[in-house]
Amino acid sequence: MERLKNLFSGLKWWKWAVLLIMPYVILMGFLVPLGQGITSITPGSTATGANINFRISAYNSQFSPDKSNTAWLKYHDLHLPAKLVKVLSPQEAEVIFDIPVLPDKSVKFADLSLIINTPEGPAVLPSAVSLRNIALDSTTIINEVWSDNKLNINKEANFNYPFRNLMAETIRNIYFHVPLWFAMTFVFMFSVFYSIRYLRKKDINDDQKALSLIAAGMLFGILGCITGAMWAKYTWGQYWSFDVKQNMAAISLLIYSGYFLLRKSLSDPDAKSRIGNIYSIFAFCMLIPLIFIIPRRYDSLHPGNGGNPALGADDLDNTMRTVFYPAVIAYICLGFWLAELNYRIIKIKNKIESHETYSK
Amino acid sequence: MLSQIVSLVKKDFTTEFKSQERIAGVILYLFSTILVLYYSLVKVERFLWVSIFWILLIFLSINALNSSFSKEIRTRHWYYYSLVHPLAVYFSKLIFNFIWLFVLTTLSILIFKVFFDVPPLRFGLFAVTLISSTLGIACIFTFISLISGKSSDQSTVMSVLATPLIFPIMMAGSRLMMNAFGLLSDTDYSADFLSIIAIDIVAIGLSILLFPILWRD
Repeated sequence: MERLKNLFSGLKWWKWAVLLIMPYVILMGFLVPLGQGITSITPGSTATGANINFRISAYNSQFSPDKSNTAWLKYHDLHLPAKLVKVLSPQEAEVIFDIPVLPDKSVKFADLSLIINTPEGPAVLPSAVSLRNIALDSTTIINEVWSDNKLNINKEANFNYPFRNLMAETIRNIYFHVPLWFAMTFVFMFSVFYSIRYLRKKDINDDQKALSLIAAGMLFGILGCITGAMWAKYTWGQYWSFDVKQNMAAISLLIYSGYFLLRKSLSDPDAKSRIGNIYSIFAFCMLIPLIFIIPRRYDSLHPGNGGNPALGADDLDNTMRTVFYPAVIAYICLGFWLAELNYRIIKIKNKIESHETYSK
Repeated sequence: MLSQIVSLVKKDFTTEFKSQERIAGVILYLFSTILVLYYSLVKVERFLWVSIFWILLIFLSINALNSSFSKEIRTRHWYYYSLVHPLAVYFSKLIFNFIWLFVLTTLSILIFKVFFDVPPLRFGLFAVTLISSTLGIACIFTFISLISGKSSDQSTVMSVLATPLIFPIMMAGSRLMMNAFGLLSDTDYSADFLSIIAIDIVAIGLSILLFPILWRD
């Protein structure tokens, strides 16, 4: 017990933050279920005038026949209610629509989204059905109309993450992949601060702090690359898609590995720290266009580039924010903790070395 | 300081032209690479032209600017240090590197013209791209060659450190050049051009700040 007390007594507040938030992030990240989502719909296309029976299968859903379920087809602001929602099993249902002509006659083809509204909350499949908008002959009479009234959708009943068709369960990676990059940038920024301080004051401790911060940042960068590659495999199909952000990340890691190579290649310890710190300042400033300017100019598969929405309401709803923002803080603090441990290891190594040289 | 810079640049050119094996080496490298490209590619379209030109430019700059500091003996640095302002040394090296790299790229474009005759559609944009990107490359190489000059294995350190650093210039520059060849549907080049200029300015500014510290050995 005494030992345990000693173990925790010296911890600064930001280490407590890591100890408290990291388990929260991991538990919440892996245990909170996804909301319900529609995975497939057949048939995928139809024409106006049809009385059509869509069969849908859903993920994480709890359809039941004795609850009130409603469904709509949606085209921009217009929507069309379903005549009937027939529940087959908790994950399967049939939705029946009578489809009238769209008010805008000039539209030949329209991508309709499907919304299902259950007591647990809504589920949406974007671009579910493609509709051929053709004029009807006088014999087919459809009573339903496209309307633009406000939809009456139930609130999300459970605490869960949004279901996105492309990502499905991998949406949890946002708590690991994105904060790693945030933390890397932050840690590198602080390393530049220590580098500048070293060049001004020539205190060897500052140099070692900068070195250990860069090592921690490199670790985060490599982990960010790996988590990103895993995510890319699932969502984009390949581990490495030659996306501009992936390339820029790889290049910034190359630039910083040059720092370690440079330190290894210099033999004089004074020159090692001086030139190393000069290079790290130069490298960080060259990193700014790589990370912040160039990716904006190119089409990217990442959210926020090339017409894709950024981290907005679509990707990051309020439930996800409750985990995401703490995760960013925890990773930044973890980066500093790792750097501090590394710093202490360097100190001890130097002490042992100098002790050995004196004792000889 | 201006007269110091001018005399240092003059001195650099005279030493460069005195050691003819260095010039001959770079020009031979240029010729043999282009010949290899010519025999392996035969017909070069505009897109391929831009990509091989950039590959050639990168290796050319590694070859030509490799030893801008280390070709002189260490002790001579002491001599300069006592004689002139450190920034004069930096600017003389930068100007020398820039002119030398620009001459070599112009030469390589002329040889390209002989072997693969693909004229750019917008010559003004092409020239401006060439000037701004060689300036950026020269700037980064000047800085890195001083850093790597202090290390034990300087040619490896030089290429490993400099290649990723010139990558942003290469990306924006090759985009601008594709634009000059009419390969892109998006003909707005202001952002690419501004990013090259920004990189040039940041690199020069940082070098001005850091060079005196580095120089004081």
